[in-house]
Amino acid sequence: MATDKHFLERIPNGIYFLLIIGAMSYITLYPLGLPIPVTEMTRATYRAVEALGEGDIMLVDQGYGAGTIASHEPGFVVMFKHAMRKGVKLVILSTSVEGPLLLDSALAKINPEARGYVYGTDWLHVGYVAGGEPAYAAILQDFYSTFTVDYAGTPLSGMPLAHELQAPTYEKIAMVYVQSAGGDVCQGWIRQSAVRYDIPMIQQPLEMMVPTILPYFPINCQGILNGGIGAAEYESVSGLPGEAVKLSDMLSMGGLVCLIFLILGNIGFYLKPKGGN
Amino acid sequence: MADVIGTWIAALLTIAITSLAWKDQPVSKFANHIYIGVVTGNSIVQAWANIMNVGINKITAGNYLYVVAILLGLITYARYSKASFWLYRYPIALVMGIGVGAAMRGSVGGEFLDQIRDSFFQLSVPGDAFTSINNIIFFAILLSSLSYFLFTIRAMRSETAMKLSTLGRYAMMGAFGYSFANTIATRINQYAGRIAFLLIDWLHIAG
Repeated sequence: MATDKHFLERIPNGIYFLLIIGAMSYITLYPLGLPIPVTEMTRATYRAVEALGEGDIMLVDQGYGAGTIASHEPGFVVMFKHAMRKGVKLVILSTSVEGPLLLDSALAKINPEARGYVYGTDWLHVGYVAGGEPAYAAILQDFYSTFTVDYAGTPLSGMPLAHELQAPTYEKIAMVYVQSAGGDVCQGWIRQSAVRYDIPMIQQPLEMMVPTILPYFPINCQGILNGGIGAAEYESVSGLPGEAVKLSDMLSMGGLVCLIFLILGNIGFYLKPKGGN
Repeated sequence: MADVIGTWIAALLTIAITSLAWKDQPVSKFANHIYIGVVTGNSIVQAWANIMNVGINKITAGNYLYVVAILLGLITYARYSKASFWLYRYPIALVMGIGVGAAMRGSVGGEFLDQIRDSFFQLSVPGDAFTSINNIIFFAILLSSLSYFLFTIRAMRSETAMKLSTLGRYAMMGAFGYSFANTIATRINQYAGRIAFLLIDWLHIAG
């Protein structure tokens, strides 16, 4: 019987997707609880947040959209919880237009008011910020004068936390935490806060953007969370398990299936007759 | 009740847009168009809130300098008229100038000087063999990768230099592989979130 050397090439793409989805669904139904190895980037992030004191202010760029919510939301949730545990105040803005819309979903998992975190005193949300790098520079110079109202339209003049951020704001920010799918946003914040004012910075770029930010670690960027994987590691190291830990089995299984496909693809390529047109 | 309806809509739209993986379908196009429509509508609302927050509110509070910024913003619409097209270049030039100026201030330090400074370290760390090996590998890859980009120096055409640049090329291939693996991890992670939503929040068959 002749061997069909092209059979791998003829498998429709949809089959591959179905196999990946099937494998990931199976592991969700029957989780293995695989161990989560914690990288030095995540440990460094944890140490940087642990070094903050009660009353310190963390500026958070919740710059993610619907397309990357699985990577970023667990990171936002665990970071907010860790900050609350330390008594760190949070000032949240978003460089993504979809960010403010998605904040409610994250806040429902944190429930800051129920844990004694008072809006306007312990945390604040000013919503979407346009303008790119010049806007980051303006915020770090004088946050209070840059904005007039919070995301809900309430004047900042009535919020104690906003008053704490009067010029020079960069002297009052203890840490900047950036979540973004775009490398330009991450690098922009590094240039404006870490390089210019030497403000400690931690970043959670999308997994695929980590190689772009890695050269800044640890000299300009004290910690990096590698997207959703980094969030799972952070949940593990901080003792605050959440959604990312639940997804980690699925990530392992999805990655394993992709690896098998890569090996099969290369075997198929090797078997393919060489030469000709 | 609203939560249940919302979950059902989200679940059905997730399935509809996933059907694109099999082939382009009317349902996937429908879900795609809904997403684009929602995002566009939300972008307009957020942009308007931003203009109010950092612009109009300040003018109404008596800070009239912001009128200049609003006018410059309005001038960008001159590009839609052939007669006044030239006007739109001025606000764009201003925005570009400010953007480049703001970026340059941190670029030299963060992307050049700090990177060079960070590459100066002790190759051999006494009592820490792992760090020592790591540092030596880093140094070798740094030198070889840099040598790959020295195209115009005659000395780089020697056999030894070519071997060094080949090592640099392999090192960069490894870096691209790491980048590609991270890209796969990103895609898997995004869909893992959707699968978890379907099985846990919608069907309630997993915990």
